[in-house]
Amino acid sequence: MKQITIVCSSGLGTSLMVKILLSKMLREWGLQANVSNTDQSSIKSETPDLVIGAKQIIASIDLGGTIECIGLENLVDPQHLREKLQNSPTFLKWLNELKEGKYESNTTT
Amino acid sequence: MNLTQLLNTGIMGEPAFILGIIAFVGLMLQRAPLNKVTTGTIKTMLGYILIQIGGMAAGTALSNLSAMIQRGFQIIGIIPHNETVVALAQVNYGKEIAWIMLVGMCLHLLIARLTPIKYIFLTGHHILYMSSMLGSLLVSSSLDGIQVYLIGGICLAVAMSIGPAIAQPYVKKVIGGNHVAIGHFNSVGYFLSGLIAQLVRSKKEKEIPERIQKLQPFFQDHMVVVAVFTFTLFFVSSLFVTPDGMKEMFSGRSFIVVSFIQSVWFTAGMYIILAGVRMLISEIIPAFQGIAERVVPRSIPALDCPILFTYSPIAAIVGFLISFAGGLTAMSVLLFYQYTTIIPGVIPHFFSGGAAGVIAYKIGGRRGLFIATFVHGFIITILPVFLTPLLSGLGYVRATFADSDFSIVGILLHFLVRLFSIN
Repeated sequence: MKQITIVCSSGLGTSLMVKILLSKMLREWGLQANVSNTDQSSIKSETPDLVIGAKQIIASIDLGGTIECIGLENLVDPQHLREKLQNSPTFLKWLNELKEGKYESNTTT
Repeated sequence: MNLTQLLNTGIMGEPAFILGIIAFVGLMLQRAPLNKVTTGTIKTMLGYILIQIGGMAAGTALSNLSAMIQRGFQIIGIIPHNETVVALAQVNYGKEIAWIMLVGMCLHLLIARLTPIKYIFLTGHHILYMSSMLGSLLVSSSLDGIQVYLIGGICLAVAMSIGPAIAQPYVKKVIGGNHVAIGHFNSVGYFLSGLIAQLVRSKKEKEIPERIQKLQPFFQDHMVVVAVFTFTLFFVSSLFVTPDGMKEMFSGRSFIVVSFIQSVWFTAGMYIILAGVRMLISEIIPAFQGIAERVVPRSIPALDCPILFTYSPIAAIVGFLISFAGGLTAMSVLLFYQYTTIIPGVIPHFFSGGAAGVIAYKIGGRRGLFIATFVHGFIITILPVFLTPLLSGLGYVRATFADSDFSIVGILLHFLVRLFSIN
């Protein structure tokens, strides 16, 4: 299963809200992924496929450059999140794989 | 077995089960698949136990710190730190807290459904913290079990509905619309910041220097911030404790080693509490939100305060620093008058001060930001002075609730309960 991690300062409120928003969108697209939320100290020891957070948080974490991190300028606007996802290379790749029937929902990458 | 007995000693007397049942029912109503219902329910109960384990670790370090402060400075220093005080309250009043949470969340949906106040409070950890405050306060009054659950639940529901409404006039201006509100129990603090900023608004618009932004990464990793801050507190206090005193307390270990190990213990405890709170709410809140969406048409979600930070990250960091400075001022003023003082904590000022900073900056420009957040920091530090004695049921705990609404709701409720118990 693909892993998307939402990060915020203490991993309690904001990241959970984005998680609810994102889970709804993924259902619309029919994309299966594991969405979890965490705090800024823990993210450094995780290896998800995609990281999402507020722009100032994404700016201050360094995951070694191999994992794509999406920095949001607005955390309450679903349209903004949708646009950011539709411009994300990782996410577009998944959508393409889904269209071609190659999206593997049960294996870890 | 009558109702009270069933509530106290049966399955509903165990907080882990009550919370598990809330998650279970929520997930069932959402028609979640069986494996999700099972994992969600188990993880909720796991979260509850994690909070207690973390609370014990953080509590041990905190009581060492207060003992050192007391010996070194001859004062009692109370640290406003929601996570620690909540964890300690959970150990004592888990059952009451779980019930207040359940009753409060149901009544909150009812208020949103039946009245024009359409806010749905979705900041799960603050719901838990407010329940903990209400539980600790009401248990030390003369009320019995079911009365505590009901009165606590009503107060929680009202606070969840009115809180976002208080701050909304100013939050609306920052967000640029009425589709979202702030659900963070510092509403009175935000309202005051907005009001003060409006009064002292700068006439000419000046930008905040960009270089302040560079400070931000230093304050982003909260575990590191808490460890450094706690180390500083331990280290400074240990300098004032006599060598004999230190020997007696920590069996002759060097004060630097003691300070270091103790601060890391505290931070580790806090990390476990946070992980527990996250597990506890991350199943309950999505279910709560799903139910709210169905039963309350046109509801306005009230979200955690960092959603404001993106509107001006610089103002958030300046707001935090100045609010903290206001807190330090309040600490010194308190020492002038009494034996007990409040030592401002970094984390509450980071969140509440930061959000107050964004509001103040958007409303009153640079001058608004400086003056309003200073007053904000001063006020949120002074307020717990009045709340802490009311939580006597928690024993000699040197931690208290940090944000303004906890103190204000607590003080108001205390007076109401006293008023009615006399009649």
